[in-house]
Amino acid sequence: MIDLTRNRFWTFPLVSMHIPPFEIVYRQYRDEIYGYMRARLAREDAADAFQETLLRALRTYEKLEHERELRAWLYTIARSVLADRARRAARRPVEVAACDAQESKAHASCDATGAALSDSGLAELTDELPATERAAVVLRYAFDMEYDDIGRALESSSDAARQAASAGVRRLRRQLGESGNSPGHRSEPEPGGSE
Amino acid sequence: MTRVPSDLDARFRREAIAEGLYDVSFGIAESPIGDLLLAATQVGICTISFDPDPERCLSELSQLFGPRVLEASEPLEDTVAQLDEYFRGERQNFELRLDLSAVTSFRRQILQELAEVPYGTVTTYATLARDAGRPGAARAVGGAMNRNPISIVLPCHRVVGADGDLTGYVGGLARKETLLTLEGASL
Repeated sequence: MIDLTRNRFWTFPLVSMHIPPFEIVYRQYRDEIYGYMRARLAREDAADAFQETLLRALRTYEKLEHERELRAWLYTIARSVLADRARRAARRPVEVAACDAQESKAHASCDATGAALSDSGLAELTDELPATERAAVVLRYAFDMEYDDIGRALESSSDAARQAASAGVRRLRRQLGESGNSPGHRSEPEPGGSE
Repeated sequence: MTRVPSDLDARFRREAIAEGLYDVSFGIAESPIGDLLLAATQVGICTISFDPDPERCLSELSQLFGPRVLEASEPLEDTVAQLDEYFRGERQNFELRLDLSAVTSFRRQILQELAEVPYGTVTTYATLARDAGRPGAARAVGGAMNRNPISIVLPCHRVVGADGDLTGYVGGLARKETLLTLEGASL
Protein backbone atom coordinates (compact mmCIF):
# COMPACT_ATOMS: atom_id res chain seq x y z
CA MET A 1 0.00 0.00 0.00
CA ILE A 2 1.33 3.42 -0.86
CA ASP A 3 1.78 5.44 2.30
CA LEU A 4 0.88 9.08 1.85
CA THR A 5 0.18 9.77 5.49
CA ARG A 6 3.49 11.43 6.18
CA ASN A 7 2.68 14.13 3.67
CA ARG A 8 -0.47 15.39 5.31
CA PHE A 9 0.83 18.88 5.89
CA TRP A 10 2.37 20.93 3.17
CA THR A 11 5.43 22.93 4.08
CA PHE A 12 7.51 24.49 1.37
CA PRO A 13 11.20 23.98 2.19
CA LEU A 14 13.23 27.13 2.59
CA VAL A 15 16.39 26.51 0.61
CA SER A 16 18.79 28.71 -1.26
CA MET A 17 18.07 29.16 -4.94
CA HIS A 18 21.71 29.80 -5.70
CA ILE A 19 23.64 26.72 -4.62
CA PRO A 20 23.95 24.02 -7.29
CA PRO A 21 23.18 20.39 -6.50
CA PHE A 22 26.15 18.94 -4.63
CA GLU A 23 26.49 16.16 -7.18
CA ILE A 24 27.42 18.68 -9.85
CA VAL A 25 30.06 20.33 -7.67
CA TYR A 26 31.38 16.93 -6.61
CA ARG A 27 31.74 15.70 -10.19
CA GLN A 28 33.47 18.91 -11.20
CA TYR A 29 36.12 18.88 -8.49
CA ARG A 30 36.45 15.30 -7.17
CA ASP A 31 39.42 14.36 -9.36
CA GLU A 32 41.20 17.59 -8.56
CA ILE A 33 40.75 17.17 -4.80
CA TYR A 34 41.83 13.54 -4.97
CA GLY A 35 44.92 14.54 -6.96
CA TYR A 36 45.72 17.18 -4.34
CA MET A 37 45.65 14.52 -1.63
CA ARG A 38 47.63 12.00 -3.66
CA ALA A 39 50.35 14.58 -4.20
CA ARG A 40 50.77 14.81 -0.45
CA LEU A 41 49.83 11.45 1.02
CA ALA A 42 50.23 7.75 0.39
CA ARG A 43 47.35 6.07 -1.43
CA GLU A 44 45.39 4.83 1.59
CA ASP A 45 45.85 8.06 3.51
CA ALA A 46 44.88 10.06 0.44
CA ALA A 47 41.69 8.06 0.09
CA ASP A 48 40.80 8.67 3.72
CA ALA A 49 41.62 12.38 3.46
CA PHE A 50 39.59 12.70 0.25
CA GLN A 51 36.56 11.11 1.87
CA GLU A 52 36.92 13.22 4.99
CA THR A 53 37.13 16.38 2.89
CA LEU A 54 33.98 15.64 0.94
CA LEU A 55 32.03 14.55 4.00
CA ARG A 56 32.99 17.77 5.77
CA ALA A 57 31.88 19.66 2.67
CA LEU A 58 28.52 17.92 2.75
CA ARG A 59 28.06 18.75 6.43
CA THR A 60 28.23 22.47 5.72
CA TYR A 61 27.05 22.65 2.13
CA GLU A 62 23.47 23.60 2.85
CA LYS A 63 24.67 26.57 4.92
CA LEU A 64 26.49 28.19 2.01
CA GLU A 65 24.85 31.37 0.89
CA HIS A 66 26.15 31.56 -2.67
CA GLU A 67 27.95 29.47 -5.25
CA ARG A 68 30.97 31.70 -5.69
CA GLU A 69 34.41 30.31 -4.90
CA LEU A 70 33.23 26.74 -4.42
CA ARG A 71 36.60 25.46 -5.57
CA ALA A 72 38.44 27.63 -3.06
CA TRP A 73 35.98 26.54 -0.39
CA LEU A 74 36.75 22.87 -1.10
CA TYR A 75 40.49 23.51 -0.99
CA THR A 76 40.12 25.27 2.34
CA ILE A 77 38.43 22.17 3.72
CA ALA A 78 41.08 19.93 2.14
CA ARG A 79 43.91 21.93 3.73
CA SER A 80 42.13 21.80 7.06
CA VAL A 81 41.83 18.02 6.77
CA LEU A 82 45.55 17.76 6.01
CA ALA A 83 46.41 19.97 8.95
CA ASP A 84 44.25 17.87 11.27
CA ARG A 85 45.83 14.66 10.01
CA ALA A 86 49.29 16.11 10.43
CA ARG A 87 48.41 17.26 13.93
CA ARG A 88 47.28 13.76 14.81
CA ALA A 89 50.34 12.26 13.16
CA ALA A 90 52.62 14.55 15.15
CA ARG A 91 51.06 13.24 18.34
CA ARG A 92 51.37 9.58 17.35
CA PRO A 93 54.48 7.52 18.04
CA VAL A 94 57.12 8.69 15.62
CA GLU A 95 57.49 5.25 14.10
CA VAL A 96 53.99 5.53 12.64
CA ALA A 97 54.53 9.02 11.30
CA ALA A 98 57.85 8.01 9.85
CA CYS A 99 56.24 5.08 8.08
CA ASP A 100 53.65 7.39 6.53
CA ALA A 101 56.38 9.80 5.63
CA GLN A 102 58.43 7.19 3.85
CA GLU A 103 55.38 6.15 1.83
CA SER A 104 54.98 9.77 0.85
CA LYS A 105 58.58 10.43 0.01
CA ALA A 106 57.93 10.45 -3.71
CA HIS A 107 55.77 13.49 -3.09
CA ALA A 108 58.01 15.22 -0.62
CA SER A 109 59.43 18.66 -1.12
CA CYS A 110 61.92 19.12 -3.92
CA ASP A 111 64.02 21.06 -1.53
CA ALA A 112 67.42 19.38 -1.46
CA THR A 113 67.56 19.05 2.28
CA GLY A 114 64.03 17.73 2.40
CA ALA A 115 64.81 15.19 -0.28
CA ALA A 116 67.86 14.08 1.66
CA LEU A 117 65.73 13.65 4.75
CA SER A 118 63.17 11.58 2.93
CA ASP A 119 65.69 9.45 1.12
CA SER A 120 67.60 8.79 4.28
CA GLY A 121 64.55 7.76 6.33
CA LEU A 122 63.02 10.28 8.67
CA ALA A 123 62.58 8.01 11.64
CA GLU A 124 66.27 7.27 11.95
CA LEU A 125 67.45 10.72 10.97
CA THR A 126 65.23 12.70 13.27
CA ASP A 127 65.31 10.33 16.18
CA GLU A 128 67.65 12.53 18.21
CA LEU A 129 65.93 15.85 17.52
CA PRO A 130 63.95 17.68 20.20
CA ALA A 131 60.24 16.91 19.86
CA THR A 132 59.14 20.26 18.40
CA GLU A 133 61.97 20.41 15.89
CA ARG A 134 61.32 16.82 14.90
CA ALA A 135 57.59 17.45 14.36
CA ALA A 136 58.29 20.62 12.34
CA VAL A 137 60.82 18.85 10.12
CA VAL A 138 58.52 15.89 9.51
CA LEU A 139 55.49 18.06 8.74
CA ARG A 140 57.48 20.34 6.44
CA TYR A 141 59.44 17.76 4.48
CA ALA A 142 57.31 14.64 4.63
CA PHE A 143 53.87 16.21 4.54
CA ASP A 144 54.86 19.26 2.47
CA MET A 145 52.85 21.50 4.74
CA GLU A 146 52.96 25.28 4.78
CA TYR A 147 54.42 26.90 7.89
CA ASP A 148 51.05 28.43 8.72
CA ASP A 149 49.53 24.97 8.91
CA ILE A 150 52.48 23.56 10.83
CA GLY A 151 52.15 26.39 13.33
CA ARG A 152 48.52 25.53 13.85
CA ALA A 153 49.31 21.82 14.11
CA LEU A 154 51.91 22.50 16.79
CA GLU A 155 49.68 25.07 18.46
CA SER A 156 52.25 27.79 17.93
CA SER A 157 52.89 30.35 15.18
CA SER A 158 54.06 30.24 11.59
CA ASP A 159 57.35 31.91 12.56
CA ALA A 160 57.92 29.49 15.42
CA ALA A 161 57.26 26.56 13.08
CA ARG A 162 59.74 27.93 10.54
CA GLN A 163 62.37 28.44 13.23
CA ALA A 164 61.81 24.94 14.62
CA ALA A 165 62.17 23.37 11.17
CA SER A 166 65.31 25.39 10.44
CA ALA A 167 66.81 24.55 13.81
CA GLY A 168 66.00 20.90 13.23
CA VAL A 169 67.64 20.90 9.82
CA ARG A 170 70.74 22.67 11.19
CA ARG A 171 70.98 20.14 13.97
CA LEU A 172 70.58 17.30 11.46
CA ARG A 173 73.36 18.70 9.30
CA ARG A 174 75.64 18.85 12.28
CA GLN A 175 74.75 15.28 13.17
CA LEU A 176 75.29 14.09 9.61
CA GLY A 177 78.58 15.93 9.37
CA GLU A 178 79.78 14.45 12.62
CA SER A 179 78.85 10.93 11.54
CA GLY A 180 80.55 11.37 8.18
CA ASN A 181 77.27 10.62 6.44
CA SER A 182 76.90 13.94 4.67
CA PRO A 183 74.09 14.05 2.12
CA GLY A 184 76.16 16.43 0.01
CA HIS A 185 73.78 19.36 0.26
CA ARG A 186 75.51 21.38 2.88
CA SER A 187 75.83 24.38 0.64
CA GLU A 188 72.06 24.47 -0.06
CA PRO A 189 70.10 27.28 1.56
CA GLU A 190 68.04 26.38 4.57
CA PRO A 191 64.44 25.53 3.76
CA GLY A 192 63.06 28.55 5.50
CA GLY A 193 65.53 30.94 3.99
CA SER A 194 64.16 31.07 0.48
CA GLU A 195 60.51 31.51 1.44
CA MET B 1 44.61 14.42 -13.95
CA THR B 2 44.42 11.73 -11.28
CA ARG B 3 40.95 10.22 -11.32
CA VAL B 4 39.10 9.18 -8.21
CA PRO B 5 39.07 5.36 -8.09
CA SER B 6 35.56 3.98 -8.50
CA ASP B 7 35.72 2.10 -5.21
CA LEU B 8 36.64 5.30 -3.37
CA ASP B 9 33.83 7.17 -5.12
CA ALA B 10 31.38 4.46 -4.06
CA ARG B 11 32.78 4.45 -0.53
CA PHE B 12 32.27 8.20 -0.17
CA ARG B 13 28.67 7.95 -1.39
CA ARG B 14 27.89 5.06 0.94
CA GLU B 15 29.33 6.90 3.91
CA ALA B 16 27.45 10.10 3.08
CA ILE B 17 24.17 8.19 2.92
CA ALA B 18 24.96 6.23 6.09
CA GLU B 19 25.56 9.51 7.94
CA GLY B 20 22.37 11.00 6.52
CA LEU B 21 24.30 13.80 4.81
CA TYR B 22 21.87 14.20 1.95
CA ASP B 23 18.65 15.93 1.08
CA VAL B 24 18.03 13.91 -2.08
CA SER B 25 19.60 10.73 -3.38
CA PHE B 26 19.06 9.87 -7.00
CA GLY B 27 19.87 7.27 -9.61
CA ILE B 28 19.10 6.33 -13.17
CA ALA B 29 17.31 3.00 -13.63
CA GLU B 30 16.87 1.17 -16.91
CA SER B 31 13.36 0.00 -17.65
CA PRO B 32 11.39 -1.43 -20.59
CA ILE B 33 10.06 2.07 -21.26
CA GLY B 34 13.43 3.79 -21.14
CA ASP B 35 15.68 5.23 -18.47
CA LEU B 36 13.96 6.51 -15.37
CA LEU B 37 15.40 9.10 -13.02
CA LEU B 38 14.55 8.01 -9.47
CA ALA B 39 15.01 10.25 -6.46
CA ALA B 40 14.30 9.95 -2.75
CA THR B 41 14.53 12.20 0.27
CA GLN B 42 14.98 10.77 3.74
CA VAL B 43 11.16 10.73 3.97
CA GLY B 44 10.56 8.68 0.84
CA ILE B 45 10.46 8.58 -2.92
CA CYS B 46 9.98 12.06 -4.35
CA THR B 47 10.57 11.59 -8.08
CA ILE B 48 10.22 9.03 -10.82
CA SER B 49 10.79 10.93 -14.01
CA PHE B 50 11.25 10.35 -17.71
CA ASP B 51 13.10 13.66 -17.88
CA PRO B 52 15.76 13.43 -20.57
CA ASP B 53 17.68 16.27 -18.91
CA PRO B 54 18.88 14.95 -15.53
CA GLU B 55 20.80 18.13 -14.75
CA ARG B 56 17.64 20.20 -14.98
CA CYS B 57 15.84 17.63 -12.87
CA LEU B 58 18.59 17.76 -10.24
CA SER B 59 18.39 21.55 -10.08
CA GLU B 60 14.66 21.34 -9.46
CA LEU B 61 15.17 18.74 -6.75
CA SER B 62 17.85 20.91 -5.17
CA GLN B 63 15.53 23.90 -5.04
CA LEU B 64 12.63 21.87 -3.70
CA PHE B 65 14.32 19.72 -1.10
CA GLY B 66 17.80 21.08 -0.46
CA PRO B 67 21.16 21.26 -2.24
CA ARG B 68 22.73 18.08 -0.87
CA VAL B 69 21.71 16.09 -3.93
CA LEU B 70 23.85 12.98 -4.33
CA GLU B 71 23.80 10.00 -6.65
CA ALA B 72 23.49 6.89 -4.48
CA SER B 73 21.80 3.58 -4.97
CA GLU B 74 21.15 2.37 -1.42
CA PRO B 75 18.09 4.53 -0.65
CA LEU B 76 16.53 3.51 -3.96
CA GLU B 77 17.13 -0.23 -3.88
CA ASP B 78 13.63 -1.11 -2.71
CA THR B 79 12.04 1.15 -5.30
CA VAL B 80 14.10 -0.36 -8.09
CA ALA B 81 13.24 -3.88 -6.93
CA GLN B 82 9.50 -3.11 -6.87
CA LEU B 83 9.63 -1.46 -10.29
CA ASP B 84 11.39 -4.55 -11.64
CA GLU B 85 8.63 -6.72 -10.26
CA TYR B 86 6.01 -4.39 -11.76
CA PHE B 87 7.55 -4.53 -15.21
CA ARG B 88 7.78 -8.32 -14.99
CA GLY B 89 4.05 -8.39 -14.22
CA GLU B 90 4.68 -9.72 -10.72
CA ARG B 91 3.54 -6.67 -8.75
CA GLN B 92 0.27 -4.73 -8.90
CA ASN B 93 0.66 -2.43 -5.90
CA PHE B 94 3.70 -0.54 -4.68
CA GLU B 95 4.63 -0.50 -1.02
CA LEU B 96 6.78 2.59 -0.78
CA ARG B 97 6.96 5.69 1.35
CA LEU B 98 6.47 8.80 -0.74
CA ASP B 99 7.58 12.37 -0.13
CA LEU B 100 5.01 14.76 -1.57
CA SER B 101 6.03 17.69 0.62
CA ALA B 102 6.78 19.81 -2.44
CA VAL B 103 3.32 19.25 -3.93
CA THR B 104 0.51 21.73 -3.29
CA SER B 105 -2.33 20.53 -1.08
CA PHE B 106 -4.81 20.43 -3.96
CA ARG B 107 -2.53 18.33 -6.15
CA ARG B 108 -1.71 16.07 -3.26
CA GLN B 109 -5.41 15.46 -2.71
CA ILE B 110 -5.77 14.51 -6.36
CA LEU B 111 -2.71 12.26 -6.21
CA GLN B 112 -4.08 10.46 -3.19
CA GLU B 113 -7.24 9.68 -5.15
CA LEU B 114 -5.10 8.64 -8.09
CA ALA B 115 -3.21 6.16 -5.90
CA GLU B 116 -6.49 4.33 -5.31
CA VAL B 117 -7.14 3.64 -9.01
CA PRO B 118 -6.70 -0.15 -9.27
CA TYR B 119 -4.09 -1.88 -11.39
CA GLY B 120 -5.31 -2.76 -14.86
CA THR B 121 -8.18 -0.26 -14.86
CA VAL B 122 -8.62 3.26 -16.16
CA THR B 123 -10.53 6.25 -14.90
CA THR B 124 -11.28 9.69 -16.30
CA TYR B 125 -10.18 13.17 -15.29
CA ALA B 126 -13.78 14.05 -14.43
CA THR B 127 -14.24 10.96 -12.25
CA LEU B 128 -11.02 11.67 -10.40
CA ALA B 129 -12.12 15.27 -9.82
CA ARG B 130 -15.46 14.10 -8.47
CA ASP B 131 -13.88 11.46 -6.21
CA ALA B 132 -11.61 14.14 -4.80
CA GLY B 133 -14.64 16.25 -3.94
CA ARG B 134 -13.85 18.74 -6.68
CA PRO B 135 -16.47 18.12 -9.37
CA GLY B 136 -15.89 20.41 -12.28
CA ALA B 137 -12.14 20.52 -11.72
CA ALA B 138 -11.34 18.02 -14.47
CA ARG B 139 -8.96 20.45 -16.17
CA ALA B 140 -7.09 21.06 -12.92
CA VAL B 141 -6.88 17.30 -12.49
CA GLY B 142 -5.26 17.15 -15.91
CA GLY B 143 -2.72 19.71 -14.67
CA ALA B 144 -2.04 17.60 -11.59
CA MET B 145 -1.46 14.54 -13.78
CA ASN B 146 0.87 16.49 -16.00
CA ARG B 147 2.92 17.50 -12.96
CA ASN B 148 2.77 14.16 -11.17
CA PRO B 149 6.29 13.88 -9.67
CA ILE B 150 6.19 10.11 -9.13
CA SER B 151 5.17 8.50 -12.40
CA ILE B 152 4.17 4.82 -12.52
CA VAL B 153 3.91 4.49 -8.72
CA LEU B 154 1.25 7.20 -8.77
CA PRO B 155 -0.48 5.81 -11.86
CA CYS B 156 -1.42 8.82 -13.93
CA HIS B 157 -1.15 6.53 -16.95
CA ARG B 158 -4.51 5.06 -15.81
CA VAL B 159 -6.34 8.36 -16.41
CA VAL B 160 -7.92 8.79 -19.83
CA GLY B 161 -10.35 11.18 -21.49
CA ALA B 162 -14.11 10.90 -21.09
CA ASP B 163 -14.36 9.27 -24.50
CA GLY B 164 -11.67 6.72 -23.68
CA ASP B 165 -8.91 8.45 -25.60
CA LEU B 166 -5.48 8.24 -24.05
CA THR B 167 -5.27 12.04 -24.46
CA GLY B 168 -1.78 12.74 -23.11
CA TYR B 169 1.00 11.59 -20.79
CA VAL B 170 4.04 13.25 -19.30
CA GLY B 171 6.19 10.42 -20.65
CA GLY B 172 4.54 10.38 -24.07
CA LEU B 173 1.54 8.41 -25.34
CA ALA B 174 3.63 5.41 -26.42
CA ARG B 175 4.77 4.85 -22.82
CA LYS B 176 1.21 5.29 -21.55
CA GLU B 177 -0.06 2.65 -23.96
CA THR B 178 2.79 0.28 -23.04
CA LEU B 179 2.03 0.58 -19.33
CA LEU B 180 -1.70 0.02 -19.79
CA THR B 181 -1.02 -2.96 -22.07
CA LEU B 182 1.37 -4.39 -19.48
CA GLU B 183 -1.40 -4.12 -16.88
CA GLY B 184 -3.92 -5.74 -19.20
CA ALA B 185 -6.23 -2.73 -19.22
CA SER B 186 -8.88 -2.72 -21.92
CA LEU B 187 -8.33 0.34 -24.09
